[in-house]
Order: sequence, then structure tokens, then C-alpha cells
Amino acid sequence: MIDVFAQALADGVASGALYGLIALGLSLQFGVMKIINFAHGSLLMVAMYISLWASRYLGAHSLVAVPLVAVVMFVLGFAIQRWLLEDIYRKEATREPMGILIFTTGLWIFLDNLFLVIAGPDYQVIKGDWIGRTTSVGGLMFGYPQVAGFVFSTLTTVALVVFLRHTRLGRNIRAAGQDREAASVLGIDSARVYQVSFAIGLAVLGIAGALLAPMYPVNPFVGDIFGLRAFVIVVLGGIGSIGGAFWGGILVGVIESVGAQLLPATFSEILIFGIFLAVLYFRPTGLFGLEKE
Amino acid sequence: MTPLARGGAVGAALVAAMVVPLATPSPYALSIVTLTLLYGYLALSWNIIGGIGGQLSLGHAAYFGIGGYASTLLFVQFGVSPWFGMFAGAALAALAAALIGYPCFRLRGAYFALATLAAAMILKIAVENSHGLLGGPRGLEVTLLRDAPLQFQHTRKEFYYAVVVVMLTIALSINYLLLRSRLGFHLVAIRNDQDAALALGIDITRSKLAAAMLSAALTAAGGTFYAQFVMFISPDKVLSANLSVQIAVMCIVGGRGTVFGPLLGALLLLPAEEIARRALGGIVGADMMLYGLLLMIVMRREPRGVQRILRDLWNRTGAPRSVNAG
Amino acid sequence: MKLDRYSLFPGRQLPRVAAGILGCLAASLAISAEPVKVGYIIPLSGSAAAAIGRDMSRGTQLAIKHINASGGIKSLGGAQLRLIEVDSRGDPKVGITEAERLITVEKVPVIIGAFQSGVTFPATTVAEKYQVPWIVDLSAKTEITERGFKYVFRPTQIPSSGNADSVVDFVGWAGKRGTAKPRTAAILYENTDWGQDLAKRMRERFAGQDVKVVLDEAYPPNAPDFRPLVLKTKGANPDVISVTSYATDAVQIHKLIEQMQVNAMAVIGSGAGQVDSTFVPSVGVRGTNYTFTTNGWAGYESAITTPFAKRFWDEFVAAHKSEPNEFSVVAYSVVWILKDALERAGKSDPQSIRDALATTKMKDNDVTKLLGYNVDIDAKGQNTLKRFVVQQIVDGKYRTVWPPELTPKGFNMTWPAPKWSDRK
Repeated sequence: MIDVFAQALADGVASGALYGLIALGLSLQFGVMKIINFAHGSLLMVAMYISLWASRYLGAHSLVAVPLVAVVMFVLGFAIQRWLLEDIYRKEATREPMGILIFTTGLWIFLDNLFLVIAGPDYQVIKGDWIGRTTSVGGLMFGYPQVAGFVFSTLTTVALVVFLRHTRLGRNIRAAGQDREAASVLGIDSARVYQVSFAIGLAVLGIAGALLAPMYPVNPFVGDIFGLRAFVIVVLGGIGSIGGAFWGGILVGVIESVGAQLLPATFSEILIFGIFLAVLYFRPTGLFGLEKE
Repeated sequence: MTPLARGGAVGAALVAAMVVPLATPSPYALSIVTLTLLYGYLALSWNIIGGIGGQLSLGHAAYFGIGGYASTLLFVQFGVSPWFGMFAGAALAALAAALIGYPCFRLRGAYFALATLAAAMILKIAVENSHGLLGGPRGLEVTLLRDAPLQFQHTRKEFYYAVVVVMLTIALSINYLLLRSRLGFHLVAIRNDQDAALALGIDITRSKLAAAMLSAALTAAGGTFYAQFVMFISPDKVLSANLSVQIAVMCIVGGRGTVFGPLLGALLLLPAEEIARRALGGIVGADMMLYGLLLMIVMRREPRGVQRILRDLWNRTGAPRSVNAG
Repeated sequence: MKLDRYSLFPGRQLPRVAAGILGCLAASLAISAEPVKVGYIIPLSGSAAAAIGRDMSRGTQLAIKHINASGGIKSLGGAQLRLIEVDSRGDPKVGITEAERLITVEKVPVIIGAFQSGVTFPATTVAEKYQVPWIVDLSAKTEITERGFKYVFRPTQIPSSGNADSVVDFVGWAGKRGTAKPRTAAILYENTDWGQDLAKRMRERFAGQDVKVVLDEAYPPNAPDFRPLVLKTKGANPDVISVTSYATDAVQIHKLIEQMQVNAMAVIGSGAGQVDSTFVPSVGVRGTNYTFTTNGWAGYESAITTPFAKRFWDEFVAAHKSEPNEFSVVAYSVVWILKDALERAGKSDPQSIRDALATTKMKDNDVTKLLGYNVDIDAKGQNTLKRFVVQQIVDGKYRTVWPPELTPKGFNMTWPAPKWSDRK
């Protein structure tokens, strides 16, 4: 019985790190621009398809495909912000960005159905010898993609934190997120910062999608499964906090995994949303939103 | 033209417009019109808190579901007419809005949106796990009585159309009156600048709470209507996050904070969806692609919605001045 | 070219030409008969059910093609069938309004649909109201035929309890064979009306078979992570694991059962995800080996025995590069059941079609051999003869093992399944 719990805990951490990575891009966009991007889940779906196609048509090992997907998604993110979102954002900069919310809802519906048209309704899985392999650590068993998901999620998160803290561009991004006007006084080109933030957000999402694709069957609606959850994690961790998204993801993963051993599986969802509401009520800055300068 | 006369003229035009669909011989067309008006009604209900009050609620499916479940449960279990159940659902939804809203109102903008989204999802999951009374994922069916207008059901679509027109008229009136009332004035002040509103001595929480409860109660009545129209409710349909988003989309695309904008949103989006389906039925998914595209185009053109676009066009052409309706 | 044709004309070609002219005449007669419109409501977008809707639509379209090519409805002067297919998007609202449109605008005299019970259940009330017959394809909600409706028929599906009965009866039968008797069971099912119906029945029936249910677990469909569920199952260490899931969920659960080496005498699917044509390719041969599943269709070996069935199978495979599954087979057969009714009705108004459907009796013909059961519509509009077989997947092939009389000669099922560590 102890074994089951240890395994559940470890599984929860591994899944959670990936959930955190999925939420990370959202948190960045949310934190810097205060926008709700409802197309986040659909963009994850797009990343998973790119990864699937890279492995199917280019014969790329799905881990080799990770940087490729990240680059494609970066370009896509830059383009979306530059040519689609920027104008709307400028028009309603002083009010709640409801326009962006509806626009990205439109993008969400558009992308889901675009992929239904071009990829068909079938779910598809990535094939590869390594995907079914397992390794055993201290009596606990892990699948290769699970380990890869955990390791690369953690590395990506650390890299992003380092980038935001210790590079000029990263500091500009954070400054723009904390105080838009002060940032412009300091001579920061906020439009460029937003483009880069959105693009980085999608690049990270691309990595997450490429890591998820070997584990989860891809279909045009797969984004819905992870999209809403990403919002939960962002708020749990503290909006705009990169570390917070990571820990928020792990918290959700562990609740889901360990909770399911104690309660019926459907109840762990209630538990997650309940904790989410409690955090919103009592600590709206998030559980881990402590990253203040 | 005095405001009253103008209101009267618009009202008369609306009443005339609403009689027209009754002349169509097609129950199908009438069903589509009825559903369109139901969404217009929901968008108007959302408008009270989301548009006029400026609080981006993404949890209205919760109130919609409460309305549907309350009336259906009372009817199936205790034989209470859904007409009464409608009010019970509305009261319950108002209570829920207070429970959800009170702590959430401290949260601004995106936080509020996510809190309401999560609250609605918890309700959905809870219903999905309540296998006894609420039927869990199986949902509840409204006992089929055919022609029983006193029990809120009829085989003729004209019945539902008449009901929805009355509901819509009520929602339009409430929005119209609210914008001219003290509460409406407070809400607009809060929406424009919460800190300034506070400085003016406006009780922010009370105003928001009143708007949220009113909005929820109206939405719940829409849920009862849906239950009686479809005769079957299940949590994945009436409590879904998609529905919450859809209601907000209708209102915002049409023009939030205005009286006719929300209705306009529904009048534009639902028929557009239907026409796209007819035109592109051969390619599965193409119709919804077009729908998504439409949302994107409207928001890029004018984030304040179609109502604003039309008003700008109207002003530019200078047409209103030449109208000699007096 | 022209010259050649004229030079060929006289002499022995003449009878063939005459036959050709006669054929043309017959064809033009056939075309002159008013085509029969068939309304078809099916989920083609909106959710993962779209893939099933697509599989069904393919079967339906092929049946329409075959019936029209073989001379249409003979008793109606060779009338052709015209399918009017609409996408329900899995939304009951759309189901209702589309049913209304099909009946009042398109004037269809009969509707087939709509796979999802949540759509079929409310939409059939529309058909009942307009007194237009509705043939339910695979919706399993019990109440669909329990409302006293006169225009709703379900020839190719029984309530989910029948599916659950097959699982339990099979387990009971397998236990008595002496190789290994199961004492405990885990039932895993998606938290939907379908999953709940199956689980409820299994719960009740397992008790009667002296099998203790040690884990009774509903999970939210399309959950982001199935590891916790499979881990919990492993911890419960049951003899039998029942998995009631649609394709994407089933693929992950079975993959994890392999990966996490959950050993049980038998893993038994409820014939949705496990009979999907993508199940074996996605999970792999090793992961699916020895897996049992119920199936509303007896499979290639047992059912593709007639030229009728062979033509369906071959043309389906040729057109779509994938093998038909239960969804496609049922969809194909339903149209032939409608054809049978139309032939007997001799008229194409809704009332005549309804009356003919109500007296449908098919025994040992091409269609029932393809389906694997006879059709006999009872007073409620239900065909109670539909049954589920149990199959075992061996090297990617579905072999029927229960009821035993349907087992292919020389095939012996593997029970209990070998431990994962003992497999290649």
C-alpha cells in the first residue's frame, strides 16, 4: 500500500510538471499583458499535431521534434500577437481586455474546426519503440515519455526563470508586466515586448505539446482537456509567476494522482476546483505568487 | 423626438418584428427564431452584470443549469408546474450568485472571470456525481404531456415563441430601465473607475451584488425555458463552460452595456451559424470555422461590438437627421 | 472510333444493343419513380464522437449506394434512396431543430440517427409528434423505447444492461471451465449515462456470480491522466478488470495496463473503445493480446460469410483503407432494414413506413447474418434479439469466444491471460 502511494506521488509530480509547463505560457501572457487567451488549449493541440507530423513525415524522434515544434510555435506566436492581437489590445488598453477574450474564443473555435477539416476526427498516436519502455527507480516504475516529460518540463521552466531574471529582455518583459507606464518611461518598446512574450509563451507551449504528444492521443478537440486546467493552474500558482505555474501544476498533478487513490476519481476534480476557489477567495495572488522584486 | 417617443417607436417596431415570424408556416424556422431569441434573452441577462456592471462573468451556465434543474426536479418529483419552478429556480440562482459573487467581487477583471468559471465547473462536476436525485450524467427528462400550457409545454412551436418573446421583452425593459436608474448609474460608475466610484460613496459590493443576483435570476428563467423546450437536461449541456462562454460571446459581440447590443449579437451569430451550416454542410467543421472567423473579424474591427459598428456607420451617413418620423 | 462502332453494329452485336436499350428504359423508369428521402442525423463534429459518426456515415452511404445500384426499392417502381445527412454536433438543440427541419422542410418520411442517446432521446419526441418513423441506430439509453412511442424503432441496439449481462455471463461461464475461477472484479467506466448504466448492471450481476467487486470506479471521460486510475486498479489486484470507455480513453488505459504490468485473469472491454478500428494499431499487438471485449457484432470470421457481407466488407475496405467496425456494420444494416420495410410498405408515406417497420421480422437472411442476430420488432419498437458476443484479441485479430457456439473451429481462448512478465 505504501508503494502505491509513493508511486502515485511520483506520478503526480511527473504529470504535474508537464501541466505546469502547459500553463506556463499562459501565465506569462496573462502576467505581462493581462489578457485571457482562450485559444491556449487549441494552440496546444496545434503543437501536438506539429509534433505528430514531424515524427510521421520527417521521421523525427519525438524528442528531436521538441525544438522544432518550439521554433514553429514561436513564429506563430509572434505573428498572432503582431498581426492579430496588437490592434485590438491597443484599442482597449484602458479597459478590461474583453475584446481579446472574444477574439481568442473565435480563434479557439476556428483552430479546432480547421484541424477537424484537415486532420479528420480520428485520434492519432505517435509510434516509437521508446514510448512503451519503462524504467524502474527504487521500486517505482516510470514510462520513458513520463520521465522525458518531467525532465524537460523542469529544465524548460528553470531556463525561462533564468531568462526572465538575468537577461535584459527578460527584465524588460517583467517590467512591462508590473507597470506598463513606468516601463515606457524607461524606454521599453512595449509592443515589441508583448510580441516576444506572446511568442515565448507559445514556444514553451510548443515544448509542452511535443512532450505530451507521445503520451496522449491527439485529436482536434484535445486542447479542451488541458486548456481549462491550465487556467486553474495559472491562478493557483499566481498570475504571471513562472515558478508559481510550475508548483501549481505539481500541486494539481499530485492532488489528482494521490487523491484518486483515496477518493473516487471523479472527486479529485472537485478537490482541484475547490482548492482553486479557496485560493481565489483567500489568497488571490496565488499560492506561490511570491516572486516580487 | 423625445426619448419616450423614440422608445415607443422602437418598441412598436420590435413588437411588429416579433409578430412576423408567426406568419411563417415552418415550425423549423420558428424553432430557430425561438432559440435565437432565447440566446438574445440570455445575452441580455448577462449584460446586467457583464455589460452594464463590467464584471466579466464566465460562469453563467451555473445559473442556467440551476434554473433548468430546479424547475425540472420540482416538476418530476413533486408535480409542481414549471411555471412556478421557474421562479424557484430564479430565486435559487440569485442565492447562488450571492454566494459566488460576494467573495469574488473583490477580484477584478480576469480573476473574477476565472473564479466564476471555476465555480460553474464545480457545480457541473457536483451534479455529475449526484446519481440519486439529479440523475448524475444521465440528466433529467421532463415528463412528456404534449399539449399542457399550464405545465409549460406544448407541441406547437408558437407557444414557445410567444413565451420567449415575453421573456425577451421583460429582459429588454429591465436593461432599459436599469440604465436609467440609480443602480445602473452606480454600476456604470463602478465599471468606468472603481476607485472613483468608491470616492463618490457608492456601495460597490451592494451594487455588484444586486446586479449579479438580477442577472442570475433572469438567466435561470432561461434555463427553465430550455428544459421545457428540449424536454431533457444533462450536466454536459446545461452546465458546460462552453455555454458560459457562448452567452458572454453573444453579448460582447453585439455590444455590451447597451440595451439592444446583446440582442443584436444573438441575431447575428445564431442565424450566421445556421446559414453557414446550410451552405457548407458538405465539409464537416467548415461551418464552425466560419463562425470562429466571424468572432475574430468583429473583434478586430471593433472590440465594443456590432452595435458600435452600426452606430458609427449610421452617424457617418448622417441618415438619422433626414428621418421625418417626428 | 465512330467508324469502328458502326462497323460493329450489324450481326451478332444486335441482341446486346437491344438489351442495352431495354436496360436504359428500365433505368429511366427507375429514375421516374419518386426518390425516397432518408433523413440522417449523426455527430460529425464537436467532440471525439465525430470519429464514430464518420464511421457510421460511411456505412450508411455505402448501403444507400448498394441499394440504389441494385435497382432501388422494387415495390416503389425502383425508387432510389436519397440520403439527407446532417451533423448534430452532439448537441440536443441541434438534434431537435434538425429533426424538425428534415420533417417539415425536407419532408423526409423517415429518419435514422443519432448515435448519442443525449441527442436521440429528445429528438425522437419531434419525430413522434409529427408521426414520422425514426430508426434508432446505436443509442443505448433504456428509456428511448420505454415512452410508449409509436414511431420510434430500435432494431440494432438493446439497452446497455444487455451489454453488461454479456460481460458477467461470460465471466461466469469462463470461471466454470476450470482453468481459473475469478473471485474479484474491478469495474472502470466513464462517468456518463452509458458508463453508469453498464456499471449499475454489472454491480448487481457480479454479486450473483459470486464475484466480489473490489473496485467500482467512475472516471471523467477524456481525463488528462489515466495513471492514477490504473495504479488504483493495480493496487486492488482484481481477477477481472472491466473497462467501459470510448476510444481515446480505452487506448490510454490499456497502454498503461501493459506498461504498469497490471496482471489479471482477464481485462474485458465493453465494446466501444476496444472495438474501434484504431484500437489495436494504437495500443500495439503486445498490449492488446488476450484482451477480451464485448462486441455488438460477431466480427469478420463469424459474420462475413455471405456474398452480401463480402461485398460490403471489400468495398468498405477499398474505399476507406480501414476495416468496418460495429458502428459501420450497424449503420450499413439499418439502411437495409429500412429497405425491407419500404419493400413491404409499397408506399413511401411516413405512416406506411411506420406500419411496415413495426412488423419487421428478419430471420436468417443476408442482413441478419451480417449483424449476427435476427430482427423482430416488439410492441415497444425494440428488437430484443440483439446480443453482444465476447471476443478475444489475439495477434491483433478479434476471435469470438462467447457464446461458445460462435467460436471459430479450432480456436481456444486463453484464460487466464499470462502475466505481463511472461509475455514476449
